Amino acid sequence: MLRSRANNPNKKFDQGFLAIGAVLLGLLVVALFTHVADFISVDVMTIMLWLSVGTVMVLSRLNQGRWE
Amino acid sequence: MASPQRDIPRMSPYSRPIYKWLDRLVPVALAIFMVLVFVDYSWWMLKSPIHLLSWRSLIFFGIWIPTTLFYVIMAIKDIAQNWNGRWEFAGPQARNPLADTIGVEKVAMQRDFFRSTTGKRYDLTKNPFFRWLFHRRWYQFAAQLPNVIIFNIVIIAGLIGVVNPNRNFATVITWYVWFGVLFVLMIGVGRAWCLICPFSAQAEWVQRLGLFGRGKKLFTLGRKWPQQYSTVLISVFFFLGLTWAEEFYNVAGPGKPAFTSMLVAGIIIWDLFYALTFERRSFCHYGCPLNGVIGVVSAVAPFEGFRAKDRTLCKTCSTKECMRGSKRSYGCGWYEYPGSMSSNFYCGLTGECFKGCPYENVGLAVHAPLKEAYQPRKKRFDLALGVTLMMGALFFEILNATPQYAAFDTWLSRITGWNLVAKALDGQLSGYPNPLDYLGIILIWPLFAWAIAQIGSLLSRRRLTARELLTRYAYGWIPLFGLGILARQLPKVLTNGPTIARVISDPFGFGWNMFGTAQLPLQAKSFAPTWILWVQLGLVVLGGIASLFVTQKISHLDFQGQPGAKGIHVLMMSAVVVQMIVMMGLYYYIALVNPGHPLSPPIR
Repeated sequence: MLRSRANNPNKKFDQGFLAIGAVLLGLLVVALFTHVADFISVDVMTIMLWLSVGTVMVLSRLNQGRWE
Repeated sequence: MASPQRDIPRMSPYSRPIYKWLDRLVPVALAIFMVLVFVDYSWWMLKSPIHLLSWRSLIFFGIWIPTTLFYVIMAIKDIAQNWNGRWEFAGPQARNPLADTIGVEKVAMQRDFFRSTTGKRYDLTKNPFFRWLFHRRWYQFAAQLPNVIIFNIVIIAGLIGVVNPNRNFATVITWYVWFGVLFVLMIGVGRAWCLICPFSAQAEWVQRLGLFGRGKKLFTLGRKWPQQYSTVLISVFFFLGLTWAEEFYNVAGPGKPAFTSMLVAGIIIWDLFYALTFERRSFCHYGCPLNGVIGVVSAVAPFEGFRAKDRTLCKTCSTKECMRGSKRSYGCGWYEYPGSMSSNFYCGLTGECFKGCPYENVGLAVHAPLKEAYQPRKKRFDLALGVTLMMGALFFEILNATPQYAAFDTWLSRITGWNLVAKALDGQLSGYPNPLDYLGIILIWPLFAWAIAQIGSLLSRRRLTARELLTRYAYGWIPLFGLGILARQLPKVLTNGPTIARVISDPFGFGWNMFGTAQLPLQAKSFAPTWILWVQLGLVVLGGIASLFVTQKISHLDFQGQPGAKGIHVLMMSAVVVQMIVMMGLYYYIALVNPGHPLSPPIR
């Protein structure tokens, strides 16, 4: 069962995570407009890390962090 | 049951003045080495026929001067602070008498959990040299420094060097040498790469504001990573993501060396962000794309990592310097507690616990290979899931060399419009691999593992859950994955690796000849002997046999006497055999139909 928002002990972490996602998305838009290939590649790779953490956050909330 | 008293010397065998001076001079020599490399490269750079104010020079000096200055200042600080014998062998404290009563009882209660300590093993720290070495504060720094220098040159070479990947240090050292050596290190020693990792080294030096000394204050916010999100799957997913990005940007060659720079610089920046925000080595745990691969493949290695020699003593230790740190050591950066370690998965071989233990009760033992894969009683579901996902990625890496895959990928990208998105991300790229087929192929393996686990559960008449069967038997896939992925790297490493002799003399392709080897007649692919395929197939067979051995052991240790155990055992062994045969068939098929591919040496 998903935890309610009010009881989430990782609220600050989640908020920070979303803020970083917004920054990365913003940087990607800037990079696409400026056509700097290296900038785009670093941002895409960083988004991969962000997505990995995000996927685990979703999975962990679904299984209540039971990985053992 | 009293534990045997160990014969540990009270005095260091290296207490003569020469060793004290050696102890002081090694860090000094390392600092001088760092400066010499800087001076040598700067001299060649200034001698090059490029303008000093060109963008290449600015990037070179913009990276080299600040980093070298930082490291030299930190080294001088550490040397000055530690000059007066702080690194001397302290000698063990007297054994806690409660260890033989309370400790023994506690350990006896957890005997099954600690079964990984059984069997023949040789403790390296019985040897005075290793004991002396692991006590040195500069032990890890000495291992890290050469790599830090090499990978800083990689970043610079990728940014300012020539575009030809076979003449650029960044591509040659990273993908033709490092990626092969990395897997040999994992299989041979375990987390040896983590010991010498230049990425975490630099982030940790900034976090500790020192290179090897034991500082009092840390330069970090020191936040804790949420317990709920503490899983190796972050690392596995990131590994899959970066593998896709590596294929998409063709980073590993013959792509642009600048992408290799971006990748290496990216890892250092991410690591630095984690180090400044979270405590200890959080990036290594919850960010490093190689953490999952290295941890998993380390199970094949015959090293069990730094671990308590006598757990009864740990049960009565109230200070826990191994975890918390002491005057001469930091707490374990990997959050490990040697007193309850049951596998080498998270031992980064930093040796901090060895330095910190007041009872000299931490050792580094060597035992039979594969033991770490089947012995631990405690097996993790996330790790098992990670093994199946990484196995999927390995099969993708082999499948993508087939012409059938290329045709399918092109068709899929056309009908889904992915090639247009790829053009927006980089105008020169074709869009390979399409993320849909990439993820689709990878997901076949976890689904396959889940399906056979469900069949196994049916065989046990649902007494054993599919989750438990998957969790335990996926460990049996580890050797096949480890040796299969090494086989995947071999052709690229063996055919192109020798070009390293040229690029170390001319790392940027500027026409330098630093060591007199720049003109050697070594061309990429000139070392493509036909026997590479047979070595690949041999490694897969070896991995398959090792996997069968581990699977057999898991059946014996974890499921003996359980309902349906024999049927489940046959099922799981068959799953390993099928994967081994498919992997061998694919390597052979690629060599047959696609002899020009870097993965496939021609068959004659």
